[in-house]
Amino acid sequence: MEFLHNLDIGFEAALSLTNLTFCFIGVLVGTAIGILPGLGPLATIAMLLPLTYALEPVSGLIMISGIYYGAQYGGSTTAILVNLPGESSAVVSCLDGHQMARNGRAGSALAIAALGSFFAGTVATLLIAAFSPVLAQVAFLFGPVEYFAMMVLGLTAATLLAHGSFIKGVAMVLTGLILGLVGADVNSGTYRFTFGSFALTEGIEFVAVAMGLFAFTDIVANIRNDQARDVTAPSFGNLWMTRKEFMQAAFPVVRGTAIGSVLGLLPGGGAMISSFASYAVEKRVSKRPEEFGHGAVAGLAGPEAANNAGAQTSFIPMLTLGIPSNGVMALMIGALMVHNIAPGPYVMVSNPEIFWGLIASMWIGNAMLVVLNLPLIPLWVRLIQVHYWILYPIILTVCCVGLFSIENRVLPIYFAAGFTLLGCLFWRMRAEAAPLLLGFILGPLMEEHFRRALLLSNGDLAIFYRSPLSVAMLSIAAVMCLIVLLPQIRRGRKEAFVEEA
Amino acid sequence: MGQIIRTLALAATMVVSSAVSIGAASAQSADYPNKPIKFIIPYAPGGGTDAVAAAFSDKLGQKLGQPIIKENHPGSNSVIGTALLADSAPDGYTFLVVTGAFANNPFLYANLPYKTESLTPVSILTSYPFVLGVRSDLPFKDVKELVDYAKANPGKLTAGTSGRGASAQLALGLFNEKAGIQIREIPFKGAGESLNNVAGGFVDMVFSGYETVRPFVESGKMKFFAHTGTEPMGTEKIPPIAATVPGFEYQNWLALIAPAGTPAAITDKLNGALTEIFAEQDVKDRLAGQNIEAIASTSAEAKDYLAKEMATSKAIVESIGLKPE
Repeated sequence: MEFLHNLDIGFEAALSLTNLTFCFIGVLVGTAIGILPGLGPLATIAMLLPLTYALEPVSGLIMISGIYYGAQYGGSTTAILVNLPGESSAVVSCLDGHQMARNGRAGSALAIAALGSFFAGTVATLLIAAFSPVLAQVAFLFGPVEYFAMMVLGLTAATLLAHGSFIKGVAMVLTGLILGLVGADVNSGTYRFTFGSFALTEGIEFVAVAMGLFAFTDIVANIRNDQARDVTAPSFGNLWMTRKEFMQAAFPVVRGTAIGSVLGLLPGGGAMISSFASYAVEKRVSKRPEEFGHGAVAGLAGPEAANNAGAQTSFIPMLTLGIPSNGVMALMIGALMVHNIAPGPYVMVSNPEIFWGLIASMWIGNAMLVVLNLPLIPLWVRLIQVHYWILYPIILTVCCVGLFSIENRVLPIYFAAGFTLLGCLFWRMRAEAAPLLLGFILGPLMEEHFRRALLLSNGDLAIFYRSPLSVAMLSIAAVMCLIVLLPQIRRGRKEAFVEEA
Repeated sequence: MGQIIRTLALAATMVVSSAVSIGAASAQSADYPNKPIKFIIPYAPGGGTDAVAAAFSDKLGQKLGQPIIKENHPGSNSVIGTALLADSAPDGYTFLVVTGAFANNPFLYANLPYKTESLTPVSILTSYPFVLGVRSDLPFKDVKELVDYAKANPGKLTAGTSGRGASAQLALGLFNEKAGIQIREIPFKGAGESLNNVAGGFVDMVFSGYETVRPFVESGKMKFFAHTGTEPMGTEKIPPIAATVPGFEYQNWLALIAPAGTPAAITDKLNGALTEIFAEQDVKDRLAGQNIEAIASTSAEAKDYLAKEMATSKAIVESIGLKPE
């Protein structure tokens, strides 16, 4: 009964006209940037973050999350029609989705992707609604000691699961940790690396880091790339799939949803890993693995469901524990903290309308996406053809206005410019910048909790192994580090990510 | 074309302003305000100061006939916003809404980019005591038992504060000193987090605003049996700490500050409007519900109040061993 009552609170919040509007804006923008190759949800959310400061917290979060899962839908449209991943998690959808389109089944492929995603979205929303309160009960056991252990685990896992070189991942996390040190130390109030400037006492503006490293860097990287995009004029034929295709899609969708739901929960997890895992599983369980890569329905349906489920369940660790599992979730935490809401188990108690409103909005947003995606495909195809020289100046201007509006100062704009240079350097070095953002967010928090734990125990380190939860998490982190050092597994990891290169 | 418009506009302004200056002797205050007024809020948007400022700024705007625009300039315990105010023109169009941190900062920062005493206080706005929120499973139910327990178990109890120089830290320091006990300080980033940790049972108590503690008391995670004022508080009749520990008092406040050299005609006009607003029943009720007292004072009274608060802050800051840096 309580479950229904909670959903009632949620729908009441999510169905208000304002929130419906922001949900719609979110999924629309999400679909659009998902369709545009090169612009990912992380970059877009970084751009729109200053805007959410002026909104009610729940409206802002609904919009941001709409962008995130909306991008998963949009990404597959480009993947199927153009054979370009509009969004990184849609890489797998190119393999079989585009082949289906070339076989004259474009309409059917789009329908499978949209409906599969909708199914996954619905299930994942229910999962979040059912399990979050349970998890939150556990989260009440989390004090400074447990939070510290959790963050060690989270950072370790994020580094391990990041794609690209492991050493680069570690380097990125450490760079993030160092950047996070700037500003006033919470415990003593001492200023670090502020060079006597009061403007730096609150640390480096997080939005400036995110915008520079992701949004602006993406733009620079894309300008350098070949900008010609051919849309192989898709023959839509019938938007509806055949009975046979439906049967072929049904089980992969269910399996993909399950895989995505679990992988989304893991630190460093989310949409992309889920879709790769699902593709691998489908290929293995298929009776005709030779069809994969030539338009196998299962090869599209499974990963599409998985990436959407993964995108949604990655909200759970953020909402219940306040731990970001990926870059987008780190931005969501930033958005909450601006409104003086400390993300964690108490959000559910102190701001139920935010928590349940966000969950209810996910389901509404998913329904909107199905409606948006299928009939509007011709419009989206036109969008893929918009030239960057029109798009990018607009984006840059909007971003700069946004940066200025955070604190009514120009300094964040300079910072964003600096981080763009750094981001371009990382991009040339093929180093993924997302772990840097996690280090930047989690580093200072980790230190804070570590020192607070020691303050509480009067400096006795034993406090870290007296808590079973902390022991468990620290051990898992240690085991993970050991595994990486074993050469055999390192090779396996390399293979798992080789497809993305 | 643009040039012509600008010249015309300038001419029109000159005609209007000269007409006004002929009409009234005290032209400046009669004319004031003739454009929107800016309030600098030196804290992040959505915080407690925003909420109190919202309680009166719309009404003040209506009374003065010009809109009031709030600008958030957070950072460094309000130093960043205050520095901006200090650099603004004293023409009555830029003000600062600031908390007690304003009186603490001179003793916490060695190189403040402004001189606190030179700024013009317009009015004290509100004053409210902290409530002492205590973890509900601790074995005491009033201040006397708490003090006895703290004396019997020195260094065992902990209290969350909002970091260096925060009002909650000063209130705790004063409490330790006056009661002769040693409650250890655990700093947090902001009151929200420290409240959560008390409710979660990791920290024992916290000094915080009534409205912020109340939800936790209602859900049974905390209890409040004392506050830092001098009279029994609110509908619950929460007793003051001073009833057990004589001489203990800590008040939080908000003040409206203008740049150095703002004419008295302007501050008087604002004071008059604020006095009328705070006398309105709905404003009174709204603030009383949160156990906040509305105070509209004259500029001179506000200056005295500030001087007194700065002396108190200095004494507490020194007694808890903080040095300007």
